[in-house]
Amino acid sequence: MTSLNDVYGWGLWAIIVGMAAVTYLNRAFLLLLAGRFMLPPAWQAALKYAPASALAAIVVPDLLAPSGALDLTLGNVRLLAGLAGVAITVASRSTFAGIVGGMLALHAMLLLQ
Amino acid sequence: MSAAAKGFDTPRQAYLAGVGAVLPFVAGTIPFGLVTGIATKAAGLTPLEAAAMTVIVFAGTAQIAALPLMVAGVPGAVIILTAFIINLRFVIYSAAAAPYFRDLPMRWRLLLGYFVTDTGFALFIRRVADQPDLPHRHWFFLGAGNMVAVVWIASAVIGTLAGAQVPKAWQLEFAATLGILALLVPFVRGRAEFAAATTAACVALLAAPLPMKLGLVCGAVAGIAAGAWSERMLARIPA
Repeated sequence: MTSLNDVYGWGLWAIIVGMAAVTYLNRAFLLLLAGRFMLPPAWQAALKYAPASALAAIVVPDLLAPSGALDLTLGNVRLLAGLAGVAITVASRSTFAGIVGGMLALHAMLLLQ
Repeated sequence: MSAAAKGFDTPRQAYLAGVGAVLPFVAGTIPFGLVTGIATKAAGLTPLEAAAMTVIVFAGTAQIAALPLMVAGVPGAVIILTAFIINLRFVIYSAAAAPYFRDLPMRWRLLLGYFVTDTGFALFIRRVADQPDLPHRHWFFLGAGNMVAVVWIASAVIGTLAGAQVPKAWQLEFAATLGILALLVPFVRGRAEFAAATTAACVALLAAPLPMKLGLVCGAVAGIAAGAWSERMLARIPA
């Protein structure tokens, strides 16, 4: 089985520790200031959109252009499986059902190919 | 809630109330923890790396978002920056919680910082909204945070161990991508959220040729700006 350690080596630990550090800072730094600094309301309003923006920026290019070029053909099974997963999540209101359904759709299409 | 509205007599009572408040949400956390653990193993992290990530990062959305980036060999600095952007929502939570903890000693605030979570924060704010001077409220926050942490870490570690038994052909690393999509669904109900996500996606797609996967960062920043701008514009439209 290929390991990410072939790609990143010890850098993988640096990534994990770095993710932990920025996450802790986001969580804690206003608590550590103990209310001596208030976030401007306009900033608070804008920060609401950070998770959806980052998630969409990760996943959409990954599905629509898996190898750099736009691939909107039926051969792009991961895109189709992703769409199935979204449809199932919306219909069932369950994250878990969407993930399981998307995986099943992926393998059904791989079998049919 | 009439009994609870009286507040807590002891730290222990407050702590246990925090633990108990999380219980109804456990059923939603466990499957997501399992999927995250399985996908982390499938992406190629060792069980030790996967467990360390779950314990010290302790943020499911950022963890699952990092996986496709790691598989694609994206530079570490961009992965860390992405985790930072996704977890900016915690800044909003701690801004709202900070006034309730301003009189606590620093060691308490250092400790509570780790336990700022989506579920724990929402439960705490709901509780203190009824009673802003709730006694022992930091113990309630700690109890809720500990319960979220125990459930999240246990289910992710179990998922990692189970993932080690799964053949590579199952392509379970794709579960991370499906998880990101499923997380996006509730985020994009509102019009401003929808504008943020679609702008982020389009900009990331157009900027994809940029080196070091910086198109992802451009997309995220553009999305935040589009969301904030849309919110202002929508507020001007009379209902």
